[in-house]
Amino acid sequence: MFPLRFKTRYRFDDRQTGIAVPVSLRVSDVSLDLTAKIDTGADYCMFERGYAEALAIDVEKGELREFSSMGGSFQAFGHELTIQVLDLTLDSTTVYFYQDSGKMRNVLGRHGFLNRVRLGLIEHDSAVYCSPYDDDLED
Amino acid sequence: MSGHALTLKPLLRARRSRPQVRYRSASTPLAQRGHFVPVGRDGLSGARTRNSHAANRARKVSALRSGVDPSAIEASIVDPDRVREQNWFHEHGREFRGQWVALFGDSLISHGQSAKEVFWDARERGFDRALIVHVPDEDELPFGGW
Repeated sequence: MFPLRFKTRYRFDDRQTGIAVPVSLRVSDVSLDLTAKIDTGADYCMFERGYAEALAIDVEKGELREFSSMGGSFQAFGHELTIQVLDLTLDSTTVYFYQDSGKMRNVLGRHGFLNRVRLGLIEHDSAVYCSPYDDDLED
Repeated sequence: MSGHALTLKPLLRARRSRPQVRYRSASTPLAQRGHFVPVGRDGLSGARTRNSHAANRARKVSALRSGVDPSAIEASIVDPDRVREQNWFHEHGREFRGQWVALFGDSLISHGQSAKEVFWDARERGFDRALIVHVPDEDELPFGGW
């Protein structure tokens, strides 16, 4: 047996496609609330361009990077900001905003999210369990 | 520690049937001449929701007068799981295809063609923690993976 402990449990909405969880993007003292899908197949956290514009982020000033997907490659701009996922606040996280405003899939990927948390999933119960990766495992 | 314990053992248990109803039914905001009138959970009256909003506003005003940050008051009433917002989206999202919407509880706070417009309109109305969602033009197809 490999026991794990988590601080947070979230019941996700199984009527939606994917496993979406509440996320806040924070720039200075302004927070914007949205939902994003947990995606172990995504290398980075990606968000719609509109959210960056709402937060007055100059999208094109970020680090331009090309990504591959089954639908072909696309470009996105990286920015460092604070994200809050469930009860966890992740400072100095590099997230990417799509160059194309038509791309609508918000995902929490490996770098910036999955590599900073301990995550449990029980699809049968529509339940996600989450804690910081270095959280104390003891009682 | 008051957290949730998870071991691999439950994963090996026999699959149980899923509960048919996981979420409570959402209240329904109705569009009337471009204004959105919240309807209560009973589907008959918006008084409860309106009263709730009025109470929230009153709490904010009271907080301002007493020097407390009103956003802290709002944060205290936000459902972190956003169940009511997701219920609203599930039941009414199709009415706003292609638009951005700002949701708080089971009420539509603002909608429009850009996230920026909708986000700041919601804030001007006193909803700093509205959930901002882009409604797809069409129903989302199941995702096939990367």
